[in-house]
Amino acid sequence: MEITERSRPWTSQAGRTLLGGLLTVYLISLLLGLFILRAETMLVSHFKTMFPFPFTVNLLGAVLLAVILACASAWRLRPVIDELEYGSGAQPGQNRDSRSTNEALIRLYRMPYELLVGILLLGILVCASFHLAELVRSWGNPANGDDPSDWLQLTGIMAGEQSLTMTVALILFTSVRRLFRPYILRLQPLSGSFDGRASVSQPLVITYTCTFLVTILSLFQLAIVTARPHEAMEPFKFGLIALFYFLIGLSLFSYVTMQFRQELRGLIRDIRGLVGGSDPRHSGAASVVHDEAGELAVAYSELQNRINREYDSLERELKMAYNVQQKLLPPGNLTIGSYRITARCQSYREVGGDFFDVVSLGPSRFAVMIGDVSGKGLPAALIMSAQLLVFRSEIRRNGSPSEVLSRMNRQLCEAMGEEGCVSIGVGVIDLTTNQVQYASAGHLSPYIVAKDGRFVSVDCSSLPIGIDPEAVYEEKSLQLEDGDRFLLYTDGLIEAVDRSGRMYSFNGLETEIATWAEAGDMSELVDDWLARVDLACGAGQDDRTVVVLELAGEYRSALATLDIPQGEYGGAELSYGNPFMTREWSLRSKLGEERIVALKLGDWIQERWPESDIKEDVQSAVCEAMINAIEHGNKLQSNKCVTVIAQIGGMLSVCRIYDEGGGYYPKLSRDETEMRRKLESEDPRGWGLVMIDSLADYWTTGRDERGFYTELYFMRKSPSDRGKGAS
Amino acid sequence: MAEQPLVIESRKFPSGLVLKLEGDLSKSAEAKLIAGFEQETELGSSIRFLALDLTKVAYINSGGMAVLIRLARMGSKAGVHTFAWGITPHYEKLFRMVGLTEFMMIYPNEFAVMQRIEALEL
Repeated sequence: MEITERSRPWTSQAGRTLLGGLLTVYLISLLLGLFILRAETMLVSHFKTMFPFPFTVNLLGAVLLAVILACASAWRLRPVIDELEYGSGAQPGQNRDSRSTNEALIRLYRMPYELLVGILLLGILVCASFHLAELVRSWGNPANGDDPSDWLQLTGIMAGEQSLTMTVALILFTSVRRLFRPYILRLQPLSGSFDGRASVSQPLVITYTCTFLVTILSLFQLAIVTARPHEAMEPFKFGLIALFYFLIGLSLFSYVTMQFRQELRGLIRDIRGLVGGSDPRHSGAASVVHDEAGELAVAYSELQNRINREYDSLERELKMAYNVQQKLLPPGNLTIGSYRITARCQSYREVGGDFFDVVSLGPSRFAVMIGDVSGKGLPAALIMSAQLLVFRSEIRRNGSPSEVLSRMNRQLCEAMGEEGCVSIGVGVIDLTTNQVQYASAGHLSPYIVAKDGRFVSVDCSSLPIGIDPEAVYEEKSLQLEDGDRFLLYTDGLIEAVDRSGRMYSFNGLETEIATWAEAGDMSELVDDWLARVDLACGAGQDDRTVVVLELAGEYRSALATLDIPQGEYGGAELSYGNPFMTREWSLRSKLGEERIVALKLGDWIQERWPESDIKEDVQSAVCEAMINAIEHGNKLQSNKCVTVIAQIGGMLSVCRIYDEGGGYYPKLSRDETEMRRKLESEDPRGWGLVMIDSLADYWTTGRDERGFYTELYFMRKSPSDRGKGAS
Repeated sequence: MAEQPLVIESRKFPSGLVLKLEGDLSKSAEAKLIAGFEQETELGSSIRFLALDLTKVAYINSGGMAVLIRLARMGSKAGVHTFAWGITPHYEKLFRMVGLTEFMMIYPNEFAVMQRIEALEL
């Protein structure tokens, strides 16, 4: 057991390095002392009796003393070596025993003082013993010519010897402190509080006091030399001796000061690491010695952590604000009737001042709006949110776009004075005529891009809202044709600057839209466009928003071919409000749920039209519409609902299937080649719309306050009617 | 009534395989039906006919029809003729609508199917 205990320290590389370092420091310090002694003896012959041993004896004595000191140190530093050995073998996350760590730290702090005091005492002891022995010898043998009563000479010699011993002790003290510093850092308990033992003041006072003492003792020695009445001294020699002591004192001062400066530099490095580090939140606490400068570093670190916490909190709040803002905006891909709307809003900061909106205004009208609040950041974002809600409320209060802008303007002027300024473009689209009533309040001119890529700019502008409460807004009427794209955008796009300093400008925009001849998927096109702008110009300095309305063309089944009684067709919209004629079901967006609604609807059809044989057709068609709503509308998100509203009249039944998504454009091809291709494809899907188109007498899609819907019409038919039709 | 999971019961006859389906035929039936069919190593050799008994299938949607189209086309590629019986007039109409009848011959009952298979074997 004892063998094991003894052998443990030597297995540690760190322990061996520490002891090796100590032995080296001892040897160098003692040899340096020996060198000073040699130089002193050579220079000042009066002191030949100082350590009057042959040089070899002195050298051997120094080496022996160094080895003895190293052995004593190894014994005193056993807790440190144990701790270092444990630390190097410990698993990550394994906690050290804080008591043994503290014990090791105390040893490391105490050791330089012990050495200092030990060397000084040893010096005094050896010196006193030696001179006492010499005195006794002189008294016993007065014939050797030395005057034992030359006390002044003896004091001078002893002062010189103590000065030398103190120099060696001081060099040892300072060097050992420096040697121990990395080990103290290594063992420093992470949450250790300020330790008085570690204070920088104590070693500072001790080292400078010792340096002063060394200088004073040397001067004292020099004074005694000059005071010897029977021996004259040459001024040159005196000056040389004085210079020698001055250099010794200066070197000692410089060495001690350099050591402290080095410590201070290390701490400044630590502080810089804490304050200016890449991300101190993740780098963890840097190791610092718990002296004054170390405490300063810790204080800086705490300050930095506090700032980081504040910053994190602000970042979280901004992210929440961004989420709220994004939720206020409608989905980026919307379908309303025959219009496909693609809108993208890229905020330059976490929250932005750009906004857009799409609002359904009944079965045949909807409004589209784009806006840009002047300024950036949170104030702009707050005005943006308020304006979006004001717009939604005002546009539903009826009126033309210019009237809506006037009302919004008055409200903004009243609320903000001249503090808020917002540019807005509003278009109201009539789904039956494809006419757009457009008014702009200081917003950039929109473009109409035809399907062959030709485009026109719609010049129509007035003052932004929020400037003049009496402002009047110009309004224009535009006619859209099949395939036309109506483009709205904000200045963040136009003012984007590429790396060479060139602005994207209207030229860049017009060059882009000229390539939109017979474009495929609009959302892909816009995403690709904005990605290219991002690549060329970077994130920029302003929000970028683009809204494109595409008149995608005729999509309904042929309504005119339907033989629907005029009154019933016209009243279909109104009869949704009649509870006796209308039933409503809601289901989760989970495939398979549609069957329950289909069964209930089938039963109701059977009940209302008992002679009719279209029950299964209605069930299958409505099931397919529900599947489309679940899959394409709600993207299979089970927290979203599909709502079915059915109305069965005397001759006509209408079913609306709502979803909560942005809408989808029903692609239906009746082309035989296309049907054949689909049938022979690896994944032969997409029959839902084919079935709806074949089973329903008429179908359409639309959007109202409840969301996107597919509407199916079924005529009341009986087998006998079919017979007549066939004949 | 929630969706009824599809149950498949298979039995062999001298030159083919009968799959008796029970439950709802939708997209969710794809894995079970196609995987079961793909595992048949004797397709095109000893199994030359695939007969589907749809008598107990109450609900078929477009997803289910897509599965049937895939199944019948797989069979056709492997030289297997596909037949079906027990289909309501409504679904037969839908099968014609989507072109499924190009790959799958529909008969009123099992007897008619077997008669047709025997005639083909001769």
